[in-house]
Amino acid sequence: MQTQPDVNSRVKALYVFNFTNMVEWPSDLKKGTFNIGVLGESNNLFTELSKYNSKSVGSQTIKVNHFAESASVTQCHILYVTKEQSDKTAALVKKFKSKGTLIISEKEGALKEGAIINFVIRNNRQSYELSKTNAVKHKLIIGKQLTELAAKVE
Amino acid sequence: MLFGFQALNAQVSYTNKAILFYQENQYDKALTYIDSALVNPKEKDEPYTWYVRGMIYKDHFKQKESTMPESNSRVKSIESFKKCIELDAKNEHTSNSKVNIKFLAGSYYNEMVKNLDTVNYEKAEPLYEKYKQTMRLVDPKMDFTKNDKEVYLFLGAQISRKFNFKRENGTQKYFDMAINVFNKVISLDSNDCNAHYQIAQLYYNYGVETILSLEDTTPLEEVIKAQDKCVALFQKSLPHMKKAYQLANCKSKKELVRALMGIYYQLNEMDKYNDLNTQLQLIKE
Repeated sequence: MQTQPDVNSRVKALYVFNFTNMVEWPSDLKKGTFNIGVLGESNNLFTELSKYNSKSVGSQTIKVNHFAESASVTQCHILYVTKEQSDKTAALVKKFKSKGTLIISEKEGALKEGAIINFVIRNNRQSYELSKTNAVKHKLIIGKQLTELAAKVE
Repeated sequence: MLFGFQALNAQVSYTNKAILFYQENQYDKALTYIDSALVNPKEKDEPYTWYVRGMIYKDHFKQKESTMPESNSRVKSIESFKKCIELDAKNEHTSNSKVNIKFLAGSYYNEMVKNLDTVNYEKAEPLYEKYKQTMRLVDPKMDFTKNDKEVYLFLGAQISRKFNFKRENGTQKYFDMAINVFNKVISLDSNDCNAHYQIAQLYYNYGVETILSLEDTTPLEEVIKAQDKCVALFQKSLPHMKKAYQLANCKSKKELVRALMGIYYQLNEMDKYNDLNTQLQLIKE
């Protein structure tokens, strides 16, 4: 059981919050609540992301939601698919295609299944790879800085 | 403690006059006379003169200057006993001189211990060095290794407390000082488990706080830089914790395994983390 402070979850949460400012969503999604969903066990990552509840993205207020299973996932601006639920990635990509959902995963090869950003470990560090092609399919525009800081871009 | 008069010569003996005033606790007059003895050709090379001088300055230190870290009386007392020993061809005063030197050395040690706290720690090391220099007058071959390790371990722990991991703000120097002090222990004994463990913990805690203390809205470039710093700190921690784990005589096996697991977890080396986790389940403590 992990009882150490979870630096990695903190880093991922910091990355995710930065993504909110480095991705362009369709104009019809720039109103109302900015929804971030976490699919998987309620864990340290969800705890860290919950710190962003009520913070702002432009004129929108963030709300962080937890989904225990894929069937209960509703429309989100960002959907984080945890490792243990990674086998649901392809189905979720299909469900939310063209609906402006930034799907983030943490499993090697997830970009091929349609995820837009995939967290990877490179040289002991949390990093990410991204697929601009997949982003376009979800009507999302990836900012230049987000592209430049990626470990790999497809 | 008291000494009798010595028939230094038939005429005025400044040493004997000094003793008289010393016995009446009139230290200032005693010192005036004993310092006059030092310029008297008949007395200046007598070991007994220097012995008396040592005693007067020693008691002056005890009565008047015992709370002064830079006591001049203590220094002069030590010098006097040292000179007595050098001149003491007949070996009449050497043994007592050494006893007195040890006492004075002990006073440096006691002061050092009193200063081993988070406010006064900077005074501790120089006092310890004076203790050792003084003890070497008694036994030039004395081995201080065990003592050195204990003192530096304690000193390192005190200095570590000054470093504010969450807000460096000028406290970085304490982190560096603590690492240096623990490294002194390792230079004395490369298998000191405690020192390795302390260094590992310092780097590890600093690494953790580097990330945990970031503001929620830290820009991505800054997050990446902080992560680079954090990983570098964990990588400095790792060899020391591995050594402590191998030595396994400063903490329980479970504690060492958990500590090592923590570092591997933060470094995202999950295979090694999982191997240790398996080991942890099997430890019966």
